[in-house]
Amino acid sequence: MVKYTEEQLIEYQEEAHVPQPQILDAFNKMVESVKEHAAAEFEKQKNIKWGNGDTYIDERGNERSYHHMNRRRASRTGTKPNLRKKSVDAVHVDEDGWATMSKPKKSFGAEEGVEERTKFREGLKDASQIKVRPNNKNLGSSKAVDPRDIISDKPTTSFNAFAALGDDSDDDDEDDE
Amino acid sequence: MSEELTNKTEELTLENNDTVLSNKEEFTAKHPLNNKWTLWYTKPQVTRNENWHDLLKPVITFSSVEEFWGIYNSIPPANQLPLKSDYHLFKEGIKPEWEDEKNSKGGRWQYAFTNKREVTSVINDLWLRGLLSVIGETIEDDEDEVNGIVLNIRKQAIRIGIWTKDCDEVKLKTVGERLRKVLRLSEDQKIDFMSHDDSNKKGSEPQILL
Repeated sequence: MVKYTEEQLIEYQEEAHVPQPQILDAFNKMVESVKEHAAAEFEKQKNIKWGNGDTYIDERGNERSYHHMNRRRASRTGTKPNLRKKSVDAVHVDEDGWATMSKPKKSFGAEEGVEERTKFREGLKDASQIKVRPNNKNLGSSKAVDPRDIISDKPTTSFNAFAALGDDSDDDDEDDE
Repeated sequence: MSEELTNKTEELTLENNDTVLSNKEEFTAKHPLNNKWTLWYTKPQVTRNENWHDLLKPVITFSSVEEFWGIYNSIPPANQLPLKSDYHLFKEGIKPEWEDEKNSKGGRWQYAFTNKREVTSVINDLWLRGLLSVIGETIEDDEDEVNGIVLNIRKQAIRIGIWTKDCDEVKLKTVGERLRKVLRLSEDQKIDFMSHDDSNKKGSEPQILL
């Protein structure tokens, strides 16, 4: 079996002979075209990421895309803002101060409970009949106390032994701080 | 008819001084290789209707050291290949596919260089060393295990692998140890061997780590 070490093979490098140059040329052209395609794809993806898909022709005739820093109005890309005026619901306020929409929304049960509503409103007219009893059990919060709040509530001035001894110089230092 | 034959044989003489070395074609084959080798290339997919068989292309076959250098110097080096490209150098007649009958019972030793910034500067040298060890047949002793060598250019890593014709651990170890030296791997850089059957199964572990 014929074997060649790496060194032996490298020795013969200068005797290189290209067996079928036309095939290798075609191969190189194919690789080059793949690289160009990959570069174009990369550029395309970059523009999709940073641009809004719109392009313009510059003074040299090259097609360029708008980047996010100088992007065009969103309406140019097809997503136009909805400029249709929404109908404003008229609200009727009665003499007791109750506000009622003139067109109650069906989704909120416009036709239902009209009687009950009127009854409830009538009942509230005599405010003296209403006894408000706070439910103590709901007054407290079940939320965990944040320990930092407790610390911040602590008095910030602590006992200073030097101040208590009447040391004037230390008092001055404290004032400076 | 006889006249025609006479004309054609007129130039033939026993005194013809032409030798192997005076013929350009024969001259280039003065360092013949033990095997004929075919270079294959996997072209990255450009359009969606291209399948694996369309993308895998045989480039050229050679049988001498001189031809190897001629080809090597004329094609893009490893670090100039576009992403998703592969070079495959296989013995003539073996397709670089698991399904080929010479590969079907085998597997591959492989190392993945994941630090692309570091490997880009050395991959040409490592790939050349791999090629030389395969065509010079110093990657093994007389086991005749090696079918070819593969280079994969990917986004995450650049991989170099040696494809073998079976999964006999004793024979494979020599090839694995030599590949480690060819790729100049340090102690903590391990190559792994996996059969093609296992590579096809999800979550398979390497058969050997070296």
